[in-house]
Amino acid sequence: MEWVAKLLPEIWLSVNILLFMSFLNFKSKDDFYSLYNLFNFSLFILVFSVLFQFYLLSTNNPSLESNLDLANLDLSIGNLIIYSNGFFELISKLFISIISVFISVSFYLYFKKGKEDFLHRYFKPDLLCVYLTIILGSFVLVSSNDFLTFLIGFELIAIPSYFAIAMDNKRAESLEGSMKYFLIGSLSTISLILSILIFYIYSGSLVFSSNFGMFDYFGVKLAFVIFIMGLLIKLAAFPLSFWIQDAYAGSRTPYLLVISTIPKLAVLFAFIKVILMVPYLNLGTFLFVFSLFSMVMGTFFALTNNDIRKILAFSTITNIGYILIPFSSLQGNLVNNSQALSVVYFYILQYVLATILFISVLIYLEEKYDTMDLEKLKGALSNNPLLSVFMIVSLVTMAGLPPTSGFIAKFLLFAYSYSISPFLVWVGIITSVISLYFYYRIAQELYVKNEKSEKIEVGFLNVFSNSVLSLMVVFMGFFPNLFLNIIYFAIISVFVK
Amino acid sequence: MDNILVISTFIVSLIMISAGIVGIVYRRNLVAILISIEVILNAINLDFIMFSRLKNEMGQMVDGQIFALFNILIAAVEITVGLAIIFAIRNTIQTSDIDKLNKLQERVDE
Repeated sequence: MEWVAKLLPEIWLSVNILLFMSFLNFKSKDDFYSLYNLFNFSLFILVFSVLFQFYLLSTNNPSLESNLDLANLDLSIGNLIIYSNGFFELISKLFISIISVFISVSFYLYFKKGKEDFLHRYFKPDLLCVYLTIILGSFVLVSSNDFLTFLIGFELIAIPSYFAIAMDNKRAESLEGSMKYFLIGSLSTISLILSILIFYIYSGSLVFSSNFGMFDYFGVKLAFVIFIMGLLIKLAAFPLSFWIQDAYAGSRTPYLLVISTIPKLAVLFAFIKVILMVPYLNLGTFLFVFSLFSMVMGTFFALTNNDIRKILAFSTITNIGYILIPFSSLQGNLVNNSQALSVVYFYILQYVLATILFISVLIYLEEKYDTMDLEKLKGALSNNPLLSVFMIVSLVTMAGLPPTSGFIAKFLLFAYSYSISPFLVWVGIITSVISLYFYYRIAQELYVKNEKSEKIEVGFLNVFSNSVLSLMVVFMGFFPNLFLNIIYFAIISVFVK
Repeated sequence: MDNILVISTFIVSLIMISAGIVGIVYRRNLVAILISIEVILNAINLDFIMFSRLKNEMGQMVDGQIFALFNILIAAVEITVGLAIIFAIRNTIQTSDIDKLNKLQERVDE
């Protein structure tokens, strides 16, 4: 029964997926409120199961269970580790599961009791299953230590995402966005499988550690480039980033919340892990170009758009550009660069928190006005002080202004990567100054005085979770070291293995 | 294993991959594009099985064949999802031409 303890969160998630699938089929439609409470409860249990694994990891005393070696949570075949549960993986899972609770609370609006039109016009409770599958996929992706597990985790994230965008299946835009994401997504799957084939031809093994040590061969280098390309497609870095605007603009806001947060986190965590496992890296020129063009293109496309979701999409591309700066010429011993990598980890974490805050306000706006066009939303928030505070905090964080975590993360990122690539840092500073304009524009359009703007009623649970998120963003801005130390320790622990 | 068998499998999979890429680029029908993607996935599968066979004769594990099995699974899931989306598109927009999917682009031009 050792494997049950080692795979506790994953098993819990799988059981819940099956459970909610059957509930959604057989329960009467009036019981969705209790179903939603059950869902939140199961996510809390998920957080505790990950914490329990931390406890198992910390007990170095195998005498508790005489035959079991629970201090080591890795799963292996023979002496090859195929599924690793070290400190890095567990801390990533903990962040993902805590963030998933916040996301789930943002759906509170659609499950409120006593609403006349109880069955919502575009929100489908099937999203809960899709969402659990994405969390499961991200866990598998983060923990994977061989290519087969990696691919399965990757697909467990990708395929529900196509569903999530197309969930409003009477709306042509949603289907179009979903189809475009599907085509580009299959391209990334193909590139991953192709690169795995080349790795396999050279090494005859599918485990990471036996493949990433063979960079003397040209073929393995090529395979690694294709592999990284497949990941960068999912992260929406420059060359194949055009799916993101259509996918974001095509999806309704609750579905956007699911596809824009956890998949990004998980893929970036896996990216960091893969980069850490490579003893030396010479992808400088590739990632240099991708980073440069992501920053410039994202910023300039965002200036001309009116759709808030598209602005968010281009802002994501820009931020992925910033994140890729430290990767652009990592050379020699990667331990020296772990500071920069831990800042990258911190950066994506606080960016995702800001995104959740941003979209949870958009959910209310779309519910009320049924549009995401800035022109039509003029003054929409001028009568809603509470939503305004959340919106402003998220915009300030995404723009990177001082009292929040966005500033400190961007500052540290640029400071650590200045010695790596000064040119990209200067481009990053210039583009982040330009990007102030479109963040400011969202705020300006939403707060113009408008007599017709109505008051929006915000649910208690939403107010609570969004306040916690805002405070957390500010807290992370004042005390980044609390997080950075843990992340640094986690990143170092990958080397120790 | 015969050297000729390796080379011939390689050539067949190369032809399949090129056919798939040509199909993705030139065909405008969504179903045809989906089939092209499947052809590429299957071509890679063929290589996996062949190389797994080759490695197995040198006394290693059959990782490649297991991987090929999972690839078939992923390809099946992918074609199911793709066909479901195409079906929904047929129901709402009454087309399966990829060039007609330009509603999101039009909104930019306004």
